[in-house]
Amino acid sequence: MNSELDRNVQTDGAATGADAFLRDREDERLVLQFLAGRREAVGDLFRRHRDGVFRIAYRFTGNRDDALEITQDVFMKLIEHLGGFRQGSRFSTWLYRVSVNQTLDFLRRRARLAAAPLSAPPARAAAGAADPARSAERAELRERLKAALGKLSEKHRTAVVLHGVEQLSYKEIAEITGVSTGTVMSRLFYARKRLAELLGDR
Amino acid sequence: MNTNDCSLIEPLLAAYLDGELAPAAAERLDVHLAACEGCRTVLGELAEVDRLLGDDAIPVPTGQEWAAVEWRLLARTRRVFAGRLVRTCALAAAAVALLGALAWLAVRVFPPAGTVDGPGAYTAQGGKTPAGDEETLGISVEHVERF
Ligand SMILES: [Zn+2]
Repeated sequence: MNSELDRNVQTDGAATGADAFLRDREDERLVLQFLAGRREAVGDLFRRHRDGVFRIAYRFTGNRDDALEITQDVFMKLIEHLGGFRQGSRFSTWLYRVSVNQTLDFLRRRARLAAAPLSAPPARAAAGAADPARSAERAELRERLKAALGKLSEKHRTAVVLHGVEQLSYKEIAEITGVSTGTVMSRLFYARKRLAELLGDR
Repeated sequence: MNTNDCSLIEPLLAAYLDGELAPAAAERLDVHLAACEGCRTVLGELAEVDRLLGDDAIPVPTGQEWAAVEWRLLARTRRVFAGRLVRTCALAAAAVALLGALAWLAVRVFPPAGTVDGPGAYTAQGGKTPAGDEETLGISVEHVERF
C-alpha cells in the first residue's frame, strides 16, 4: 500500500536547500567541537535548536512548564549521548527523534501517574491580551485542539506535530520516525481527517 | 491509478495540500478536484485543521528561563567532561602499571646475562654476598653450577 503512496510523493524534501545544507554543516562542526572537549559548543547547539524542541514538546503536552522541562531533558540526553551520534547523519533529525521519544516517555510517565496532561489546569492566557472575548476564544480553541490531539494515536500525533509545528518535509519526518514517505503521507492524511472530525463536533 | 475513485484519491489530498505530491500526481489530482465536490470538501477540511493549528500560538520561554536551562546544561557538560578526564587518567595509570608489571616480569623470566635471580647469591666459598657484588667477584650461581 505504501509503495503505491511512495510513488506519488516527491522524492526530494521540500525543505532541503542551500540554507538547510549550511545549517547542517554548522551543526556538524559544533558536534565535533563538543566531542573534542569544547564545552561552549553545547550552548551553541542549545541556542540553535531550543525553540524547535520546545515547540514540539509544547504541541504534545499543551503545557508550557512541561515543555520547558522536556526541552532541558532532551539536551541533557544530548550531552550524555552525543558520543554515539553517527557522523554523516543529520543532527536535527537525530535531535528531533530524541525530542519525540523524550516527550512520549514523559506523557506515558504522566499517564501512569494518573495525572493526564488533559486534566492539567488550562494554560494561562497570553500576557497583554487586550480583548478578553478574543483571548477567551483562543483559550477555548487551545483546549479543543489539545483535547483533539490527545485523542490521536502516538504515530499520528507525531506526524502532525513534526509537520505542523516545524514545517518538516515528508522526507525529514520519514527519517525521524523511521518509516517511508508514503507512510508519512498516509498518517498526515488520516490524522488531519480525524482532527477535522474531532474539532467539527462540539 | 483510476482518477475517478475517490477512496484512492483521498489519501493524496494531504500531500497535495502540503505541496509534497510529485508533479504528475498533482496534475491528475487537479483534474479530479475540478470535477469532484466531495474531494474538494475534504481538502477544505484538511486546510481548516492546518489553519487552526497555525492559529494556536505556541508560547516562547523568557530569556531568563532559557538562561537557567543553559546554565544547567553547561554544569552537566562540565561533569561529563570531568568524568571523561578521570577515566582517561585512570586508563593512563592502568597502562603505566601494566607496562611496569610486564617489565618486571620480563626481567624475572629473562634476566640479563651475568645477573642472578634475586638478591644475595651464594658464592663459591658458600658465603652470602650482596647482590651488587657479583660483577666485581666475577662469579655467580650460574658459574658455580656450570663447573
Ligand atoms: Zn473525489
